[in-house]
Amino acid sequence: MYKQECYKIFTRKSLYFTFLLFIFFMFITGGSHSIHQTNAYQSLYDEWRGPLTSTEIDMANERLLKIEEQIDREMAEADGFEGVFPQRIEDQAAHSIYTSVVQAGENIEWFEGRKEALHNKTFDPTTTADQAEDAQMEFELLQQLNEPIGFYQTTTWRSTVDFINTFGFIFLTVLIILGLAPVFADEHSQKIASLIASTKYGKNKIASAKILASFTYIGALFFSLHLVNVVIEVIKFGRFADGTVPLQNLYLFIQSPFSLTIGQYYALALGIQLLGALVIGLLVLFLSIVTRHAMLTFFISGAIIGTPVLFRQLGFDQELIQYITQFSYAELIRVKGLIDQFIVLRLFGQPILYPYLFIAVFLLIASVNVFLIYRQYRNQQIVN
Amino acid sequence: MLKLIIENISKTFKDKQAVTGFSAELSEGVYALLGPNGAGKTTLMRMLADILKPTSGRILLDGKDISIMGDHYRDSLGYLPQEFGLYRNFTAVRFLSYFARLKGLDKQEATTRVDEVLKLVNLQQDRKRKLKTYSGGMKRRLGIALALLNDPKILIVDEPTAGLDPQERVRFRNLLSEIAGDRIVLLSTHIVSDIEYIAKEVLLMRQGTLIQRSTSEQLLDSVKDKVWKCTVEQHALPQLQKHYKVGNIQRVETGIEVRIVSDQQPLADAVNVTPTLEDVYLYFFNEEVIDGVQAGML
Amino acid sequence: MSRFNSINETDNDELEERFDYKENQVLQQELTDYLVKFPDEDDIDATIDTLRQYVPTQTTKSVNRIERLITLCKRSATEVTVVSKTYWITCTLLFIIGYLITNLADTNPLLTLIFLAPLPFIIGLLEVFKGREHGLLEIELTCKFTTDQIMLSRLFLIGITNVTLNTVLTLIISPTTGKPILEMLLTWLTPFTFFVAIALWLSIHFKGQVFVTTFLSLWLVFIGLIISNNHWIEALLNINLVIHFICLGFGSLLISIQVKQLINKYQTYEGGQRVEINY
Repeated sequence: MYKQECYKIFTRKSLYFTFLLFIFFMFITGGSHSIHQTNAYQSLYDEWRGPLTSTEIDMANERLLKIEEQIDREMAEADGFEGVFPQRIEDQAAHSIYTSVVQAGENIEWFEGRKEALHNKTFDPTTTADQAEDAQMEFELLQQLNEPIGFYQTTTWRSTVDFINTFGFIFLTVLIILGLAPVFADEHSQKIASLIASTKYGKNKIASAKILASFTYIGALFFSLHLVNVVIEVIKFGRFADGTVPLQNLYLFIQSPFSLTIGQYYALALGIQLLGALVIGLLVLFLSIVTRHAMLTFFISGAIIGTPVLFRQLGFDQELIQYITQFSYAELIRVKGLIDQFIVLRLFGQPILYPYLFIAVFLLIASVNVFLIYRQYRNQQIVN
Repeated sequence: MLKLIIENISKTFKDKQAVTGFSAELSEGVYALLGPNGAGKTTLMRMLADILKPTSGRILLDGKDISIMGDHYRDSLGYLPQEFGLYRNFTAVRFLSYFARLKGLDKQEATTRVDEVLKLVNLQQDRKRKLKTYSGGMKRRLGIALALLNDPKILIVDEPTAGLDPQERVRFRNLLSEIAGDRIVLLSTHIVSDIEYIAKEVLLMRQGTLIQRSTSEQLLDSVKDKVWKCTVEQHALPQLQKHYKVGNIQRVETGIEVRIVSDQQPLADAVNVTPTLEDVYLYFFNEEVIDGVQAGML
Repeated sequence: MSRFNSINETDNDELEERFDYKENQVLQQELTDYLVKFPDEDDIDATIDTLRQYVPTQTTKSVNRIERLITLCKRSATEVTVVSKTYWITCTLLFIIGYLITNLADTNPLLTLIFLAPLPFIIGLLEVFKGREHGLLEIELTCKFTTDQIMLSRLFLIGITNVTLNTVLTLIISPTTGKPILEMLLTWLTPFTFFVAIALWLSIHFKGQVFVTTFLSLWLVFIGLIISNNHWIEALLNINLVIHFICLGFGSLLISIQVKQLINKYQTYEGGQRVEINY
């Protein structure tokens, strides 16, 4: 049964067509940083790579100033703005590196400032007990990070990690909806539902087989998509380096309070995204049973998943809508929002970190969903 | 001894009462469900196939409610709906194997059983072909194979012979009477001649209710002195059709020979003839004469 | 019988003389009772084969292009009533939505136009393939206007509708952008042709539910890609006119290839049938 259900899903040409087109999209977006591939950059990078002391940052600042003076001079000499300045590759590499180092220095400063503010807040008489507790919690988390920020060249990692919350989640969602919307619905449109429902296992085991086949499809899709992405990233940005440094070195995650390396985050994010993909799959399957129509399923599930994204994009921030966007399928499959900042929610007065609560809520939703799928499928009546 | 009891079941859809208080007790043998279009035959069969729930009443197999039996009931069930689809890019073998697993056969059983049923419906040569290349009759036969796959104790077939050519119909008829031995077979049909010889009992259904139930002999008996044959002129025909239930019409040398089902002698020169099930149908379903019997004759 | 053979048509008088009333009666009776047997299959076939040589060959298609175009327009006009109301309502709604977005939101109105342009056509394609989706193909093929003609005229109709709607919208918003109208028209027309070509390809190869959902997904992803990338927006809105025309020509070529394929496919039943199986 399971094999045949897989066969039904995997023989659909339109899915392959869409998948290939998406890969084409992935390929044509984003460019490479050619300067990073040069020897001059590499040798200077090896010199500066790692945690930064304040003297090092000051030195970088000085050198950056010098190079900028040089750029001004060269521009004046060249008598125009055509071309790349500074002209020498070595100077370009140095400019790139010192800019990054100075930026990292600012980030370090910001991080220390944040810790101090939190510390003060804990003892500030104007904060409520809850607020103080939250601040204390955040402070402790930050303490565990030690000094996470340094100077590392993480372009490949950044792009790979970024894929999860940009194209990755969109492509996955679209292909899951496209692939799974017909799973139950097509039995009706092909007039086979009554044949199936009148067989021994036609009301329970077949549902399991279909769910399993759908999960197989999601898994295959998930792994091939990320595998292709990794290959594309390497082609575009060169090999992976510095995956073992703290996550906060990625600019998008600088606010994250969690003690994770980039590599760990990637693994974790993949895990959560896979979970999210499966949960969305369950939603689509359920709608497929209820609506008995693939196109309706497509639109309804698209609306359920897309609306919160739209709200966020349009900047609605009423409290209710915030809860909706915070606890939405899209947030789950995007993963980033769970990790990239400190959010604490209160459940029965107890502070609980947003990602933990979030995952718990969605595990609950998923299990209710599974229950509903079986119930709905068992009780369906077929009249045509 | 197998016993299927239908206990006063009704089914109401939003706007329509499809089956009303239908009760019957069925044991081994072939039962034919006869009735005009829209009589509720299909709805009744769907309830027996466990894909529709009765609004009220229940169905018992050997004293157990089928809605409680669930799997166990469907395990002994073979159902072929009037209209069904096929996975067009499956081969016959793949399709049947899929359903064999659905019907709870294990892998070994499935392989042998698929071969058996394909042979039974004469489709061995086409077993590896994709179903989209199948003709209408072949699809029907595959459907029959499908229903027989799990060697069901209860076989429910809705209009099984629609779309089969005469030769295949005869084959199917024989097949049914062959396998009917120790199981309950319930079939609905328009084609009265299909059931004349094989049905143990005929259930006449009309507007959702059972109006008559008896063996075909008894049914024939009940119209024994009511079937007349006479020859009339062409112009007299419309008048005749207005007042009597007119069956077969045939042009003969001396005019038009008509078959009339009537309690009284319709015309002076009308003679009594031996009734067939078609006459029975005509007798019970007057209003539906046109779409009933004539469709059946085609 | 042999007597009758010798009769000359002109001499009626002689006929009158020889007329035998009794014989006539017998003959009449015989004819009334005469049963015409249904000829067997072989005889019918033989007759048809014999007659075939007298059947005029199919008249060639209208001589010149203009005439063909006119018949196409006429047929499209009759299709207006056949195309479902939902389609017209959706088109109107889309137009209003387009108008609102271009006027109210602070996104570039031309961008909105590019995005919204293909939608009426996509929904219209469902109408074009209505017959196929409802299993009417076989019947349509046997009608006076065959499936490919019907499809072509509907395609023409929705294409015209779509382009008209977009043009009207362009004219309405033209004061706000301050660009020449030709450039604005080209800006959405070029991507539109590519969308239409892709949509046609999809609709020929996949059944309605699948192609609409697949196309909408691709369309959404395309929008997402463009919006997330400022360079692309700039590039899309400020293409050189020459490149525009080249792209437009290429897009139109793609469309005509697809339309040709569609016609070839639906001229015979086997071609059309294959579609129904695909996902």
